[in-house]
Amino acid sequence: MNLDLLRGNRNLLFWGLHTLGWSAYGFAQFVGSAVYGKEPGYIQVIAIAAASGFLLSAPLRLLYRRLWAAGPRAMLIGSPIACWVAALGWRAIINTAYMDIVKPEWAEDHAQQPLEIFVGTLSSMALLLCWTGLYYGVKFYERLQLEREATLRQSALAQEAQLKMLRYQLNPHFLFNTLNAISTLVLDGQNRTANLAVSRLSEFLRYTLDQDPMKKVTLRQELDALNLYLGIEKLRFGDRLKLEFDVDERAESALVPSLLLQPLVENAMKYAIAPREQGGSVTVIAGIEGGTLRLAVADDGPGLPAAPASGNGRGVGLRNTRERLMVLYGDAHSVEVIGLSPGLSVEMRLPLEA
Amino acid sequence: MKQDTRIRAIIVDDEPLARRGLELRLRAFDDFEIVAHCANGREAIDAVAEHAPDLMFLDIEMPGIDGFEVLRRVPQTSMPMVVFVTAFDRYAIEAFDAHALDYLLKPLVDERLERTMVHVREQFAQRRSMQHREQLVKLLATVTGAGQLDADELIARGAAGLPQRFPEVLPIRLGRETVRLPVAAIEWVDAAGDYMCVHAEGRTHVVRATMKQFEERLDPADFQRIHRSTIVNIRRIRKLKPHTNGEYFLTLDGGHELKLSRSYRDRLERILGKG
Repeated sequence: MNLDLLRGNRNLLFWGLHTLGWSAYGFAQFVGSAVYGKEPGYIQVIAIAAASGFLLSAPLRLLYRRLWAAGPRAMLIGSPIACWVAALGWRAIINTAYMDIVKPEWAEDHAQQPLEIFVGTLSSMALLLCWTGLYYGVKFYERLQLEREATLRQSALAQEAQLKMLRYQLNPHFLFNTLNAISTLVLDGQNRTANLAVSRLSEFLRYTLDQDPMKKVTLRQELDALNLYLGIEKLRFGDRLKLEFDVDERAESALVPSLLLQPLVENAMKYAIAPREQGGSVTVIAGIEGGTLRLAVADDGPGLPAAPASGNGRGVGLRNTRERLMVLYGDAHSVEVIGLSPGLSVEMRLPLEA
Repeated sequence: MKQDTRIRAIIVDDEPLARRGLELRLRAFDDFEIVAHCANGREAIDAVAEHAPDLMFLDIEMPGIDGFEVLRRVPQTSMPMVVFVTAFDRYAIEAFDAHALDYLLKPLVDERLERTMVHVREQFAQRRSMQHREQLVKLLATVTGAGQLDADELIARGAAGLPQRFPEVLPIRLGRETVRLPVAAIEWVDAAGDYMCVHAEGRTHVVRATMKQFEERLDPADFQRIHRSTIVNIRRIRKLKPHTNGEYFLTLDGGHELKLSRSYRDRLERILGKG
């Protein structure tokens, strides 16, 4: 039998195990009756008991699903009650079958006595409790498997994000153009500026190389790193690049994933500043709204293409950001791309962590 | 210093420090002269028309019109020698290598620049500009693709009873797409090797075709050959300026300047009567 198919199709798994269990019950009873030499009609009673058990316990699945969703307390209280009720019905069927087929005179002696009904029901209930235990056991095992898969997927995503970040860090265009600019400054005798550029570049590289993309830093640290990067870009682009910061002081101690803003600013540089002869401006906004940290990187460039162009480079950069935030915050965050006139703003809301 | 043998160069780069770096380094070569600095492709095209430089240092990644687009838009007859300057572009470098065109990598290395200058001097001395232009157009065909005149559509139009010899629309097939270019929109066409550059509506279509094919398709009442490698739309000419040795410069309504060579002087009357 194909186990993966069983695991994938949960109905098939249930009915398979259910049938197997009740067949095993019937078989065990049959062997028992043979060993103890029971009455000849007893085999029919066993068949009826197994079939009615099969039918009576099946609806429990529908109830247990609800109890499972309602939580452990509902499960602990609800399941035994359900078992008892089902057991009562089952006992009635078995007793009736026994009387009709094996021993009609038995009814006068025992069947109507409350104690007999109570004890009989208890023994049936034990069996149904076993069924219940198996049912929840399988369900629990399934959930564990799913959780393990989710964890694996998350760590794979995290690794992927790390690789992508590595690509960002070593953006060759940025690196070579910057080295070229520094080389000019040296040739031109502007030693102080050249020196400043070298220290900014090395500090920025160190920051990007040291950081684990899943680690969090304070917004202040992140902004400092961003300033290193922007200082270099300002040197390259001159007047074509205008910068604005609108940062709430209270937000500066909040924790953010390291190098969260830099790729977004780099994107803005690539699509809003570099392609335009007159250049443009990039605005970085940080503030606190209730329990959330609001971060935004806005530009006054051409904004989103009117028609959603396939394989838009900007989309790829944004997807990396989305993936990283998804791994770190799950559903507790939001990323929005807002068209400005003119320009584009990427707005993020993260849980406020200090 | 012999003023007349200096190689006149323009520098095209959007980063001021990158331009300054080249300028400072070129000071070491006193047979070179920088006649213009351009911060983008648009300025580069204007500078080529204004200064007719011998050499252009051309950055690829630039705002608006990028390096390759500059190559497409500059008329073939006024195309200077081109040295590409790029920080990092594996694809472009492969293309430069394939067409034996010179390029410099940023940050600039002095020894490499010296070798480039030796190469440029050789080319300049031998006036191998025609070969160089053909290499440039082949590069364009590699990097941005080349179209083909769509023979099937031309024949179909003929069968439909439309004037077959001089179609009003030129179908150019590029891969699976066909651009239907109105003939009246064509400003000029110039040849380089196995390719023709069709300049129309501010765009350039590189087409694998011959001068002869175009002369057959374009109505001589509107289109005249003015150079071994140029056909111009007479209606687009706005200015005519005599030059040395019986040559003329024609300025089109788009601002582009084309050269009319001596062997085509007899076409002048036709041109003067039109437009």
